[in-house]
Amino acid sequence: MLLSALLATSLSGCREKPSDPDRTYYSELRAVKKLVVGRMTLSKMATIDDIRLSEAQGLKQTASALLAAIKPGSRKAAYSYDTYLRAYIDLEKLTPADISLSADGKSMQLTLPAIEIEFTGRDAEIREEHYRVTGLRSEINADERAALKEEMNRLLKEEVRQNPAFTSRLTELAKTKAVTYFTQWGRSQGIDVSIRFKD
Amino acid sequence: MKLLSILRWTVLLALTATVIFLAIRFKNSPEASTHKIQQALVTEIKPAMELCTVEFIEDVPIKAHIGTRHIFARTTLSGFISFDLDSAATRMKGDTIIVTLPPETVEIHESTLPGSYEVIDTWNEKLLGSTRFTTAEENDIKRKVIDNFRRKIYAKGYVRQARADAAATLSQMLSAMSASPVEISDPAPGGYFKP
Repeated sequence: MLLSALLATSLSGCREKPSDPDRTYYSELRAVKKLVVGRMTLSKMATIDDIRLSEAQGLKQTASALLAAIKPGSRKAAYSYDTYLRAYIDLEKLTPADISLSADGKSMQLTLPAIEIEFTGRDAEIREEHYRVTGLRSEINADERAALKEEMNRLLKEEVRQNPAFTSRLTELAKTKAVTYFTQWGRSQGIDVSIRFKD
Repeated sequence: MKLLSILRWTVLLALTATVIFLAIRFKNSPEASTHKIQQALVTEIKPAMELCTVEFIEDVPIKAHIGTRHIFARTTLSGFISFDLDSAATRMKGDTIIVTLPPETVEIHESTLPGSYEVIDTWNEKLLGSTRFTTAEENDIKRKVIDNFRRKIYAKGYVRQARADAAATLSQMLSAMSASPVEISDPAPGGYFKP
């Protein structure tokens, strides 16, 4: 919407081009600092169940498994929550060499800083998908949920780091959005912009 | 004879109380469980075009009670203030383009840094009373903490600053992008939050 309006006015407008266009465009873009170009939501689920005696390792786990076997009742639950990531371009990393305008001022080579991805946070709340604690089994308390969430968070970050499929989908989408945006921006200037990204 | 009867009843009562006490302790004794954690799933992925001007991260204590049950915890909240450039409205006034600064998006989440949520203590004023908070109760407490934090963000002037920065950045960026003069209009310099 914003770019369409600018495009419309620039086509009919008659303002002069800046005297040092490379520098001007560089300053304009750099002023934006952090431009967010994509978002992603990841969901993680975990279940709580008894340790089986056959699976118990070490004295502590064996004691817990024995206690669970002695105590009458069931203790099962499932929890989930969302984590948020965003893709952005840090335009402060732009250098004057990244913008190169042709002599006739009709085409531009723009090399944008690489798309960066960061975690913006996770839900403070946790979704209780299932809860069944019966008999003499102890209820699942806030401590245990906090410890579970911590473990889920650690594994999720490890998963995202180890599996590039998560970030590559977001990076591709973000690149497409950035290319569309800057191409339109160039068009509003009457410039054919060719965009590349740094690695 | 009467003394013997009183003694008998006292011992019986003491035994019953001990059995009840031990049963409650046994039921509430901490239990170790296995955690089966599923693979993460992408539930949403979307393009965006947002200007981000302010970011924050803060440790926040959580102190709350429901009836006689109390909880004390600590959380690290992180967030940012951004502006959706795709939703910025524009209109012409003579040969000047008036761009209206869109409403700010104030996102507040629990941080993903290690140890961002820690339950320090839970207790009950009543002897042998439950110290358990259900998930719904805990979520409700956390929601209130985030609502209070949001109010603080506005009260401290972070949003006002973010809007001023966004207006300045947009003005600088759009003035050179357009052939016509550009003016940024901000109908709500203090932000759009209504407590």
